[in-house]
Order: sequence, then C-alpha cells, then structure tokens
Amino acid sequence: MIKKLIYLLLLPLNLMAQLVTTNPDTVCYQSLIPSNYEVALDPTLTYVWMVQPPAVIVSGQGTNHVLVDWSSFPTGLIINAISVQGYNSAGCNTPAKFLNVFIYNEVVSFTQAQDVCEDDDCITLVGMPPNGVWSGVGVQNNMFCPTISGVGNFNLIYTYSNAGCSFINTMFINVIPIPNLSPIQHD
Amino acid sequence: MKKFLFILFTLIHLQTFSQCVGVQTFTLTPPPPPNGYAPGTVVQVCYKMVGWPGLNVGTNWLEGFDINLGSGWTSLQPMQPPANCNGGNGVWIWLTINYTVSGIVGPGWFFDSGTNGPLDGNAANDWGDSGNCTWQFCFKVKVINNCSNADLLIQVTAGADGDWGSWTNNNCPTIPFTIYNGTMDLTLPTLPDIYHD
Repeated sequence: MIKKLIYLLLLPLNLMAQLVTTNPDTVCYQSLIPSNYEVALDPTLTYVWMVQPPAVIVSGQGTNHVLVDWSSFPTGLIINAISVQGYNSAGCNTPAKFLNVFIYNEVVSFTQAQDVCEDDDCITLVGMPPNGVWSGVGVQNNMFCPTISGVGNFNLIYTYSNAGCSFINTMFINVIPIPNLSPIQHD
Repeated sequence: MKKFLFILFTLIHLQTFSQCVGVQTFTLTPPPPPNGYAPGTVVQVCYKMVGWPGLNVGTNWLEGFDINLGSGWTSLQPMQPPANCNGGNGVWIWLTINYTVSGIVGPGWFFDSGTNGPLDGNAANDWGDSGNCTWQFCFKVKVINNCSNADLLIQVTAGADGDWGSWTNNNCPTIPFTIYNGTMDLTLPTLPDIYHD
C-alpha cells in the first residue's frame, strides 16, 4: 500500500522528466544560434539526420544529436523539417522520425517620438506588439526622460520577446537644448 | 559378425526404408524470438538423439550427423562431439565436407570407427558407431550481419553407415530433423521523438 502511494506521488515527476518538444518546434527567424536536436541514445545505432534545405546540419551527423542552422529559412511552417533514422551494424534502419519546424518572426514597430527639450517631462514610449521592453540612455520603466539622458541624439531599442525569441527595433530621439537668451541689455 | 547379424535381422524384419533414428530433441539458446533472430545474433544449438533403431534396419549403425544451415547463418562453430557409444577405438570427428557413396554431406560430426576400414580421419570408408545410446552435441552459429531476409533454417540429419559409411545396406532413410525454420528479424524499434533542447 505504502509502496503504491509513493509510486503515485512520484509519477508526475517521472512524467516531467521525459523530454518533449512541441510539434511544430519553434525556431527564431534568422537566429544565428544553431538549434540542438536530439533523440535518446541507443548505442547499437548510427543516426542519419536530414533537414530540408536551405537549413544546414552544422555538426553531429551520425550521432544522436545535431546542430542545425535555420537562419536562411524564411518565416513559416516547414513540414517534416528534420528527420532521423537509426541504422544498426547490419544496415537495417528504423522508421524515420520527423519534426515540423515553425520559423517564427515578429514585426516590431513603434510610435515615433517627437524631439524633446532637455527639460521636458518623461514621455511614454510606445512599441508594438505591446509588452516589450525599451532600453537605452534615459530610459526608465519604458519612458524616456530627457532630464536623465541630457542633450543629444539617442538610439532607443524596443525588444519584444515571445516563445524564446527576441525581436528588436530602434528609434532615434533628439533632445534639444534649452535656448539661452543673452542678458537683456539697455542700450 | 555384422554381416551375420544383418542376414539374421533381414530375415526377421524384412523392413525397407524404416525409421532408423531415435527420439530427437533440441534446445536453442537464446530461444527464438517471435519475429526471428536479429542480424549478428549468436545462437547455441544443442541436439540430442536417444536410441538408434537403425540397428534393427539392415544392421545399420549410426554414421554421423549432418548439419544443414540456411543462408542466413554463418560462423558455424562446433563444440563437444557426441560420445562414442559402442564404436571401439573409433572417434567422432568434425568434418566440414564428407564425401560419401551417397553424396557429399557435412558439415557435421561423423564417426571414424576404423572398423571395416581404416581409422584415418575419413568417416566414409568404414562403419559407424554401434549401439543404442544417447548422442548429443552442441554448436554455435551466428546470424549474418546483413539486412537481408535470409533463410535461418537449421536441420540435423542422423545418417546410417549404410548411406554415409562403408556398410552396404541403405535401408535407413536420411530424414532431416528441422530444429528451426525462421527468417531474420529486420525490424528495429521505433525511435523516440526528436526533441529540441
């Protein structure tokens, strides 16, 4: 009875330990970091991987894990983007396993801010899609504060992150100095 | 003496092509999987025959055991030979090819008795192992390491000295005893899912 109880308590942990990738797998558009794909190792097998061009297997062919460069692929769903078969020493092969890949891209935009004076109040920065993060000189809590940045031209970066991917766009903003009048003279 | 017994038994039984072999059994290690043996598998085959009724069929004595293997087997490796039942100074010898009056047999174990012929490593030129004993032997054999659906037949044929030796009565038929008649298991387990880490 106790043994069964312990088993039932540990069952969720065992299930969590299994490595699962959602099909399709999501890959960030134009990511320069190769994606690592893997199947559980069977030491009696040699693994043959295939990817759809223009994807490239960077390394690992013959093993149970490969690095794949998807950076040349356009946005969208790739059916059977990657597959693997195991071959034993006799040359017999397993059925192929396939995985679809979705190349994920997000167009990031913003509402262009007007030039501001160096003593203006902080202005709210607006990016799309929402819920991204602004960064750069003079940025605090997604607001740009010219009193912090000072005078000059600044690049403000809007970063939107989702599904493990980050997409950015850059906005330029100009902080204008307050004009100084020369002293009043009585001529 | 043997010819005297031959005439005597011929008169008594007048049998032609009677069953001469004893009770045959075998073991396979590992046991055959449901879908057949996988390439590269080494199997130990042990064969046993209890009795030799051929004594009463034209006074045939046991001459040997021919092993017949399908094309899916390789690396046949003999182990201990059968025991000499009542064959005097004769010995059981392993022959890969044995040229007999009935044709070529082998590989297998054959009895070089030295009776009515020389004890010279040629089992076909003398008589067999007399008696009514239990003969048993094992051998190892390997499934070819090739992904082809090759035949894995294993047969052992117990033959009389009237067929494979220098005895002249050939009333003992050579009937193969089939130990295994499977094919290679070429299926591999399905791979687990691909995961992206």
